[in-house]
Amino acid sequence: MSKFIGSRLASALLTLVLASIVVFASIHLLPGDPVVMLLGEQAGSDPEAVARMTRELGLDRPLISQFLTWAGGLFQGDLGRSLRNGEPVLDELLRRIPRSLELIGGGLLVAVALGLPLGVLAARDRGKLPGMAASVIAVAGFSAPVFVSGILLVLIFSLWLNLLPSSGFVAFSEDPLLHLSCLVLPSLAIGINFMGVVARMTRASLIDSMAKDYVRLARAKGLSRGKAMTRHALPNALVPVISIIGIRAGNLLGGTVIVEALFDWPGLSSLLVSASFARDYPLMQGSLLAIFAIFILISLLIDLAQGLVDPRVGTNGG
Amino acid sequence: MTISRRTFSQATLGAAAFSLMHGSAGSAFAQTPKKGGTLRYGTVTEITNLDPHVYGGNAWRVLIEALYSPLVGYDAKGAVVPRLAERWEQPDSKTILFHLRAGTTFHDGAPVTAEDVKFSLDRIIDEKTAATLRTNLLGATVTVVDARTVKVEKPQPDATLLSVLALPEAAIVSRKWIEGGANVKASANGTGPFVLKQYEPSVRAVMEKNPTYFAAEPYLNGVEVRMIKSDDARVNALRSGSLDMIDFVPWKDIDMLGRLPNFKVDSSGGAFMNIWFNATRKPFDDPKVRQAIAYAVDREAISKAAFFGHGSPIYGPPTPSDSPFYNKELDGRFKRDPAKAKALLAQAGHDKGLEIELIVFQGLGIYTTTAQVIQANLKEIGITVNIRLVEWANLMERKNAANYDAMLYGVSMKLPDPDAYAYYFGADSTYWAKPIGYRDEALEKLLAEGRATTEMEKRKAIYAKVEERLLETSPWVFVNYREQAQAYRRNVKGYRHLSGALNESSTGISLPTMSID
Repeated sequence: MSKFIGSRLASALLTLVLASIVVFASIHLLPGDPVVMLLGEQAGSDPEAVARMTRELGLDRPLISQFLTWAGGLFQGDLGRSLRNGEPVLDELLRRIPRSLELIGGGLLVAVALGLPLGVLAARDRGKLPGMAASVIAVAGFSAPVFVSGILLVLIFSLWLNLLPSSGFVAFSEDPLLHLSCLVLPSLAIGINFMGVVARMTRASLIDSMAKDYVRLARAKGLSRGKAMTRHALPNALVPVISIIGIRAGNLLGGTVIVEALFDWPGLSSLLVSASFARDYPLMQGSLLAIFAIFILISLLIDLAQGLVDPRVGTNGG
Repeated sequence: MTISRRTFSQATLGAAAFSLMHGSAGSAFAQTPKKGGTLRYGTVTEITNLDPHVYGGNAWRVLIEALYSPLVGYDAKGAVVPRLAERWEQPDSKTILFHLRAGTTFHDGAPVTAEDVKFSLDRIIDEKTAATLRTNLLGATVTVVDARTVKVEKPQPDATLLSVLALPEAAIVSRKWIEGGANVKASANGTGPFVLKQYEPSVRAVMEKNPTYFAAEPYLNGVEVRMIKSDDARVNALRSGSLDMIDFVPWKDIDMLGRLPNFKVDSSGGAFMNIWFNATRKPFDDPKVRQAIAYAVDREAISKAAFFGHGSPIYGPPTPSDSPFYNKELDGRFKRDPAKAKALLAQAGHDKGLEIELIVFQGLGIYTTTAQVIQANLKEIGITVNIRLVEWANLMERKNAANYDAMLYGVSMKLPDPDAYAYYFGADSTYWAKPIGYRDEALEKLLAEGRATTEMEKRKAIYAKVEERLLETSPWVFVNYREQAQAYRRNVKGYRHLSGALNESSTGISLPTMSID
């Protein structure tokens, strides 16, 4: 098991290093000049002012040497300073990362807590009304794009029922209850789509397992259908579900771009968007790197979880 | 534009009248505003830089006007009134002497000194700051006369000096605080009615009232500014009660919110939309081609399609009819006339048609829809328009490198003075003319004359000529005003929505006297 974890960690680290190189190079390929954006409409069109600030910020140096400085700082935990306000990028990231994780966690919770029972219900009562209803909900869930389900949620829960705030963010330390109530709608918006996927996958996998010989044997031994399902079919059926969650969990991160904007949730994605429009290179690099790191972390955790559920995964090195 | 531009002496008179009114304000209002409460304000602007000398958008101004004070400021009528200076004199048309109020302090407790004033104005002039008002103050010398008197002097007569120094971007900062290494881009230490308590760039700013504010104490306990870029999220947050007030109401929602009983929408023309030409490059180096386009554009259709009816057309120069500089004879010059447009194109030698590229910002519907209407209008007179949608950073790069034929560009009034034309069209201004190398000698002469003249009637005559020249040469086609609307709950009192150049300052000017019932 430890060998398995070790190799997973090593490959995660390598991915991160490669990602940082790609991030750095691609950002500098974008048209648009951070200095012009920084100086604004008036001073930004004055070539002398632009040249001076470019020099001051070290943006006139060869790309390779800029990269080495940045990478060198990275190893010491220094991600540079934001061009637009001179604050350390790391501080900004540390403020934002927990919020994004919270959103993804909320989304996963919604997806699993609603998706699994729906899937089980759909498989157990296949062909009957509850099962069909569960299937319809699942299909509706994954068919609706995030921006549609998000707007519907705001309309229903905040404008009509006035139960939850339509958007916004308050620090947990400031007002825990308001913080959590602000988290509900974006988590639902981000999770509902994924819930559909989990439900469909659970249903298919469970139906498949129920037809397997070992389940038939268990039934032949006299186990009830429900017992055979929970004791024998479900654990096996969950293996592909977990791996699907792993593969698709990264998509949740993508979904946060829209959800954070829609619900005014100040996480990593909205930071990346705003830094990109301003061409704030250090902030863009930092937030992209953080997003990569989260992505890699999620796959790592899923790999490990899979190893726990299915011991076969770990023993031969995955 | 409600701004009545005054000469210096008139401004001083206005100021005297203002302070008289102020003294009797208590008895003038039947109902005294309620004290306390926090105004929750939602804005489209992402504030990322708190430097009070570098303009950073609409809500940036709200924050800066609440946190800092200039020497003088504007009241809701556009008159120049005292702030950190209690009075001022103008010995000649190049010089202003400011007499500082006694006993004012910065938020950190340090007293405001004449040295701070000199340091602040010099900081604006210093090119390292990249201050917004740098070009306006270029060449000015600032002298400390005594502990409470500062002299500002320009090399040539400058009628705009006082109006420039009354802008929030001319804020006075603490020398000790800045030289002590404070990050002025991420924190604040001003003299304004509110003190910054919490700030997260592009997310939120929380302010509390300043107990030692030099003027009347604000009614509100505090203001929370939330930056919400998404239009729908901003409107929904107001409707569901998590905000008290929002700026930049999306044009599609102005009528909808106005019909709801709990909300009030104030709207007026602020910024205006234009077609910019690369007027030194073929085919747009010919004024006839530019005029042809000015005649061909259907401004009414643009107002309807892109602004849901909230974008009144500009048929003449961009001076609103309530401005003292408004010229009735010039208004209506470019009423739509496709036949005339075609004739002008033929005269310019393009009777076989033209193909041009129009650079358009991709991020806002008002830009893309306007461009589509223009495309259809110009098709009628034989010009094929290829619309190229670009991101803002790309647009800025093209503007500065003069890499465009024509470009759709929204402009907000920078100054409640017609000298704003120099900022747009002056050959030395890097805003538009300098990158493309545009220089119109006749216009240059008129603009210089206007700046050096202080008498109102003479200035009116000069700026009428400036506007006539601008229509004749049409370096830009003025399209329409885009109404800027603010919406708020009915229990929010004391907000005054201003039009024209002061539009962006409406909230900043109103905040100290706003209240929540």
